[in-house]
Amino acid sequence: MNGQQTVFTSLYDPYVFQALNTLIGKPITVQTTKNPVQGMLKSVAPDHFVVEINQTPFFIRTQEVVWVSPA
Amino acid sequence: MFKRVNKLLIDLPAPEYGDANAAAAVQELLGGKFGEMSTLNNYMYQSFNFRQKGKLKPFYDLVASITAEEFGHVELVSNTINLVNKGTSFTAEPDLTPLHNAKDKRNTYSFIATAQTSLAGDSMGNAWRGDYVFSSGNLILDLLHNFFLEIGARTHKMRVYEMTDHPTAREMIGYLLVRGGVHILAYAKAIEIATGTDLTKMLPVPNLDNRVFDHARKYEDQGVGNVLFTWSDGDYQDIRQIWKGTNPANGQPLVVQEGIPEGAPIPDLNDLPEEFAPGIDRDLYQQIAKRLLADM
Repeated sequence: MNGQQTVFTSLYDPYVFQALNTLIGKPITVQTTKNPVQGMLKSVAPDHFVVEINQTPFFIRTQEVVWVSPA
Repeated sequence: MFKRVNKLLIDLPAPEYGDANAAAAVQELLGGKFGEMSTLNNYMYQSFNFRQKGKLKPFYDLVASITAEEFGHVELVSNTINLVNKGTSFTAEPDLTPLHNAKDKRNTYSFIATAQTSLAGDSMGNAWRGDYVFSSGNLILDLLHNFFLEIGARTHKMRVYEMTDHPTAREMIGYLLVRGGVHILAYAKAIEIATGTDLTKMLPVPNLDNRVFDHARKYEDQGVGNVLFTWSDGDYQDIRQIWKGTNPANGQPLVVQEGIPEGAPIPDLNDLPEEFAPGIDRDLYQQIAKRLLADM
């Protein structure tokens, strides 16, 4: 790739995406438009992220997030 | 007397996601007029109040033994509500309003009164009532009532099944549709023996087979719908004089099995710090453990 680094960007909520990246591996609480989700933030992608509760992954669309708390 | 076994009738799935409003709907199958608390208490009082238990022993044995099964159904529906009731709150300090999502759920008692577990009431939060018990003392009238009660219970189960696809709720309803079908048939056969009238010809009511429901089909295939248990070590044997012949739904022989089904483990529940339940922190637990182990 000509020595260039590929950078993923989020088309919406880019700063949420950026902020979530700093919380990977930490316990978080997410208030979604439906229910709250509390667990370990496993990974973050431009349009979704993965929270694991008791070894069960939940794939959450960033657009459905109201707030996130590192707790 | 009753002897308690620390098992649940079936193995309930416990996914890591819940649906508080589905749990609220399932409450109807617990403490509604046609819920399991009603079937339990109807047969329980009818068995207590039964006149000429010796002369009419097969009928007494039927009502008395099914009472014990209904106790297990109350336990099963309560555990289902407890497992479905998750995912509304989060753990945080009180000032962060960790129960704020509960304001928008149907059953606020579940959050305020029972720490997100079952309530002895119906899907609208009404308390279960003693006047749901019908115990007239007339054997045929009581059996006819029980036949009607079981059909009403089946109808409500079908409708709650249509309200939620939560796997825990559906597993429970699938199983209870089959067991409820057994009780409908048992009371129909009791009425036939008592009166000569064959009510099985009008079954099923509502007019669709249990096999229409994905989660009931497995239990139908296992033959769960052909067995009546005595729920006792030696007593209530004369249900054999009623539960005999073949099942009109599938043509298979009806079987009386002494004792109880094998059962499955009782689900446990995580602590819920935002509800202060059970409210025993590590320090207190260590003190309790010390007292429990002292002077043994």
